[in-house]
Amino acid sequence: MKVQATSRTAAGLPTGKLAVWWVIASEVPIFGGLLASYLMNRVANPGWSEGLEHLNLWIGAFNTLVLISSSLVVMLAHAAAARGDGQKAAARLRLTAAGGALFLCIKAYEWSVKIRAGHVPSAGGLWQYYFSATGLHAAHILVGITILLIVAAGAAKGKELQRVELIGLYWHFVDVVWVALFHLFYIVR
Amino acid sequence: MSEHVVDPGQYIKTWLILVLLPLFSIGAFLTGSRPLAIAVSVVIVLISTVVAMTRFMEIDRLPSFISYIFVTAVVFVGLFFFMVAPDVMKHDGQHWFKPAVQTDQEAAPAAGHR
Repeated sequence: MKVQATSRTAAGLPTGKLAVWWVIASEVPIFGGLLASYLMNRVANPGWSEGLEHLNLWIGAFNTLVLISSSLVVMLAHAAAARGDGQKAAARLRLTAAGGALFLCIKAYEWSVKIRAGHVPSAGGLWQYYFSATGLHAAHILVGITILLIVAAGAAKGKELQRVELIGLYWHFVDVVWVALFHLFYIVR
Repeated sequence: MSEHVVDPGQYIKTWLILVLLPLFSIGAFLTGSRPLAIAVSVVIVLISTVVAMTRFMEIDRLPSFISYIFVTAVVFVGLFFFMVAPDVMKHDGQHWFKPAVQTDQEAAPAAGHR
């Protein structure tokens, strides 16, 4: 008989949800450490961040809108899954993945503009941090898109609908990280 | 699946709040005042994080140990920053110095002789 653990009595949480929260908590020092190092460089070296003037505020703002909107769509997918409507949940998860893909396309365009202008990682510490932080974030988006599509495939068949909420948690975290990155790189210049 | 009732109307309200919040930061940036932009950004990032975590991630509905785990992770980042930043602000220390700062100091008297 196949036995699958779905909850932990001691934790009072479904196992999957507990695991996702552990992942999120472990991601905090990864992004937090990187951003804390960046902040230290900025505080210790006045003028070091002047290159940020080359970033386009409105591209960053639009990407923020895209990610926040995709967070709403994943919540609506969760609402559909809670009603047992796997088909609708799957459609909304795919729409969320499309939002993530749009975000990556815009980010790729932005990177290509910067690279063509000579703002490459080897051009200085500022650009190393910019590409590291936004690259690490983009990698998380890519992973998120992959998981969204896998969960959507299951949800479309009415299977494992509890996973819709779990990928939603991860997606919101990625969203929150982007809001911090947007402010650090695009607003506080 | 979660046991509580999900309300799409609440999610849309939360989305609206999260969309509107960065507009304050952008407005502060457009005033051209850097201190204002920094202050508003810090506040907006904190509010956005709390709103997303409570209304989208619903951390307040989970057992409190989840919040403790998350806060502990944030405290580690804070410890890293506040324990290292004071040294980063110095020009030299035990077995280390900032070459750029030393080069500037050496160049200053030479420029004065000219």
